[in-house]
Amino acid sequence: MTKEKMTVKDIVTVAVMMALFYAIAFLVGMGTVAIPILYLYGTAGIEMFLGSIFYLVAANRVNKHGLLFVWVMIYALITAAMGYMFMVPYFIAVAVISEIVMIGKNTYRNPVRNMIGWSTYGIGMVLGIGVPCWVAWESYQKQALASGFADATMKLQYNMVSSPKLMLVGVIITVILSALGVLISQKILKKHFEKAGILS
Amino acid sequence: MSCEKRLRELSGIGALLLTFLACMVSIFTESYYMHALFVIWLAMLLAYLGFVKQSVQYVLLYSFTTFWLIMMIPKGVMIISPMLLGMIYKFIVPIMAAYLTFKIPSGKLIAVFQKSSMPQNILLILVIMIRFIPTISGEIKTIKEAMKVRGLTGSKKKVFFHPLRTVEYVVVPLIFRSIKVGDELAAAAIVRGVENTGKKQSYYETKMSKTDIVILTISLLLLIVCII
Repeated sequence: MTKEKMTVKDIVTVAVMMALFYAIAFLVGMGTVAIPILYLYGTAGIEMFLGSIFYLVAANRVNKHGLLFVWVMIYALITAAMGYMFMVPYFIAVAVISEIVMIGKNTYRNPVRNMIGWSTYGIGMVLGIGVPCWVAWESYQKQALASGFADATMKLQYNMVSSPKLMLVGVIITVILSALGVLISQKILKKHFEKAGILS
Repeated sequence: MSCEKRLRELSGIGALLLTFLACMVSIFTESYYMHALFVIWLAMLLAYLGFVKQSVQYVLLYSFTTFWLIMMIPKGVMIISPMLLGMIYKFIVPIMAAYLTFKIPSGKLIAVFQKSSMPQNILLILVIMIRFIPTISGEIKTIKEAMKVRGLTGSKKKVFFHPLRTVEYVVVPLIFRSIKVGDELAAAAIVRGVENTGKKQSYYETKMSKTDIVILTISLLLLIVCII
């Protein structure tokens, strides 16, 4: 692992891969919103599953510390721009933890460490569903209902975050999908990208 | 004044503030009429700045969504998910405003962000993302055409039973193309001195133009009306 700062080329790679990841995440969000139970328990997992290839390409190509931190921080900024300002400190914490998980030499090129780092981010996303409810349920409910969230979904969300068991189900689903995503993406990476020499 | 000239008058700070105001409208407005009023204002703005086609498309989508939400959902017609409609209804306002932010030169946005104390890395990532997101759909279209020419699209049955293979066929070339675009972008940025550590100045002014002031004043007034 080099200790040098990210170059402009690295930054552009990360930005482009993040743009692709968020485009997919947006589509997944729009697709799953029709089914409340899938929206709450599956969205993070499906996003992590489909988006892992973009993360892995960026991680293997850049291989510098701070990548996962920046990745989560941008998500925090997007959430803040959407009006959920109180989520920012939570996502900063997720960003720091995800980066701590990746401490070590050459970890961004290590499949297992990437799997752990990516799953940590995934767990952060699922637990993020609970944060608005634990912090400011009243104002969140008002805002979410105004955003077109059906009453049934709000009840489902409340049940989920107030029961540790249901939260655990969400976390397990996300971890499995994230890990599976990294596993499959690693194969695609080997099959296509390593040969093409764009990862070095 | 031509449309291009009008768009040139819109500064980075103007576009960003407009997007912020649109987000506020989306969050705080409860009345259907006030919400519709702001959408009409944004549609007029888009048309004024030369995006007539997009403006009409947004208004049609908005009208359809609102019609379905108000008239069909209470009657129990749930062919389209009410939550999806609700999301479109809420997000269309910020998306319309953000469309303008996507369309102005990224130099204008960089000039604004440079004034803030944001770290340079995060600033660059944000600007590149804003610039790159609209090109993704174009890239996917090209890949689809290339797949069609080579006969890789196959039947719906094939797509359904081999989703991973289909994703691989689309995602791998998409990443290759994106990395190529990214490398060219990085090279162009380096040539223009992005790595220079000295204080940077911009070709674009960060001051608000008259057009900005008019647009933002009307938007702010509408926001106040919407909240009341």
